[in-house]
Amino acid sequence: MTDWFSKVAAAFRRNGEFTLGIYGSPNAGKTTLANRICTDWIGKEAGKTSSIPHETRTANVVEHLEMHYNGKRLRMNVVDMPGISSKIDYKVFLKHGLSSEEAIERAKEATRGVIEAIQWLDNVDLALTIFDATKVPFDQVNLVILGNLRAKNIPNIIVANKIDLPKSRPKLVFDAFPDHKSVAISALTGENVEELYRLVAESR
Amino acid sequence: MMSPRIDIIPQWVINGLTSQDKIKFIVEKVKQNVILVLEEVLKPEEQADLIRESMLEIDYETFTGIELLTFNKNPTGKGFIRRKNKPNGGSKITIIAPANSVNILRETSSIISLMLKQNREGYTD
Repeated sequence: MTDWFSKVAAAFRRNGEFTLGIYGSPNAGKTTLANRICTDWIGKEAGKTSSIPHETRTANVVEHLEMHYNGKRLRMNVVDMPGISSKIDYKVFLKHGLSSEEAIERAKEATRGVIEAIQWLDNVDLALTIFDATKVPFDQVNLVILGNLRAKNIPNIIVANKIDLPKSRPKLVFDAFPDHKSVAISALTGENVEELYRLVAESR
Repeated sequence: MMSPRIDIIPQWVINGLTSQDKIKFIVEKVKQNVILVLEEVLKPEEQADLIRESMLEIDYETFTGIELLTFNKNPTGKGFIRRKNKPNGGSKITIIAPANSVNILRETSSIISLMLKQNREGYTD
């Protein structure tokens, strides 16, 4: 399986494209951001969003996206990753109205999604690690993602998302990870995404 | 379910294991409802492998995954515990707990609180 991921990434690179991976915990806003990027640059959304955790359970690859920033042309493939979590309890899904069978099936798919997202870690060229800025930023999963990206020398931008919400505290995220490039945005409203695009262009 | 037990493992035991054996050792222990306190910070790759292996072991009833906890480096850069150029600011501890037995409270970068979940028997055995 790992070989398949590296073959896909290598094929993208041969076309002069790079792979942009969107990482984070469940419900941080990864798919909302993927939708924002895809709507802005190719005029269509990447995937379905939901308030139920683990809505994205397989990596969703949007190919051949072209971004232009300050005269720079960037060709990329955007991978909206399943949320990474170290635990999956099907009972969480019952609270969202799923039947036991549906909840267990969703949990099984979610575990496979976590494994897939981890396998992709070896094959992205640039990562966006999304934090839900309405929550404290000390979820171990984020430390694992950032630690692995650093160990593999993969450039990364920290994205403090959901600044449209009054409870958001992006400074907490920035203060927790002062050594990283970071930006505060609302993927939902598009607030400050231009700054994110600037950082993406600068990272390539 | 039996009440969780806490095992504290010194660095010299962990260092003697390969990454693969380390992960196998951890997963086996945690599945037996053991909370492990390791005198070592697992490498990022080991932490990712541990999460992946835990996913494969989830049975949706008795084992729902793990809580994995390390300290990030001192983010403010202030205070005597700061250790430049060392991962985790010099902190040498990893805690791995069965997710179905503990709740985690982590409101600041400097304190990790583990609360044992009580079953109907109240863990009095």
